[in-house]
Amino acid sequence: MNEEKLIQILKNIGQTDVPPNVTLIAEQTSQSFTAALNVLQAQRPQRTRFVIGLRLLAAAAVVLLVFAIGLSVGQRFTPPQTQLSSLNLTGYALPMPTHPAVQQAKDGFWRQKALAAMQPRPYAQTKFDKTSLLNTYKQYLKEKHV
Amino acid sequence: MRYSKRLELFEKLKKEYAGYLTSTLWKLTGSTDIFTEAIQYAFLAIWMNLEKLTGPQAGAYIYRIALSANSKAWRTRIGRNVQIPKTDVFKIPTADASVDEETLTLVRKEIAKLPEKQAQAVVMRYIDQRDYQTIADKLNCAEDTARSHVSKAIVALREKLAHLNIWES
Repeated sequence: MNEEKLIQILKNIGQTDVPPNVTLIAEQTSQSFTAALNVLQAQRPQRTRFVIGLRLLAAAAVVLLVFAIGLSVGQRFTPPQTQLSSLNLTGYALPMPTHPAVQQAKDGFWRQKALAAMQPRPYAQTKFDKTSLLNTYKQYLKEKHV
Repeated sequence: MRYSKRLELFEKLKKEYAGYLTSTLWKLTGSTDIFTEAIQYAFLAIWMNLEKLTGPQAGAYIYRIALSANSKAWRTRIGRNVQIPKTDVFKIPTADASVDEETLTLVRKEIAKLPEKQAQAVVMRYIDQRDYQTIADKLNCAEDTARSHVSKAIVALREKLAHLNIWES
């Protein structure tokens, strides 16, 4: 019921006619708005020209300033002359062909160590599997009791 | 766009929509003071959004402009805390004698306070008497969403106007 009443009120609002004085107000407002826009248009060219001139001046000033700063900095700080000798392997390490210790003096301690490290491990051959161990043990028993 | 072109376009749009804006804003304000303020906001909004009003969604956008101008005018009035003169309120010929001018003013005020979409939907549905499909097209949403906006608006208005004694009769 409440909702219906509210809807009825809204519909009544919708059926309202616009009185003549309101139409007149709307027309007057519209005319004064257009007049204000026309006044703005009349003022606009002078303002635009002034603003464009100001912007160009500002842009030129910035370019000149940057150029002057660059020039003064360039004169004050000359870059150091690069010598070819300075490029000779100062910061470069030669690639390592073998173990680092091999590069050292002949028969040095570390050279011997390095060579020994590069040798195949002797204990690698002493490894045996389970079968061979059992066979060895059987052979041992045979020999013992014979 | 050049200024002279903008002016030309503005005049064209003003001629096209002035009648609609006058009618809608008067229905929503009901007071010459608020109406004057609202129509100024509406013209300003047209001027500021000329490009949008030339596109395919122009019809929908003019609704937004009208509702937004109405809300702004009411907000300014409420913000200033100025009493709306009773003599200024337009008398609506209504069959229901229990609905007085003050109630109508309160309903309008509450419509202006509604969220934008809800206000647009309820105005289109009950004040402009549009069907839900048209509302959905104007709001750029589905028909069910439009129904939801209208329903929410009605619930919100009922809650806000619950203190009035008009519901008992």
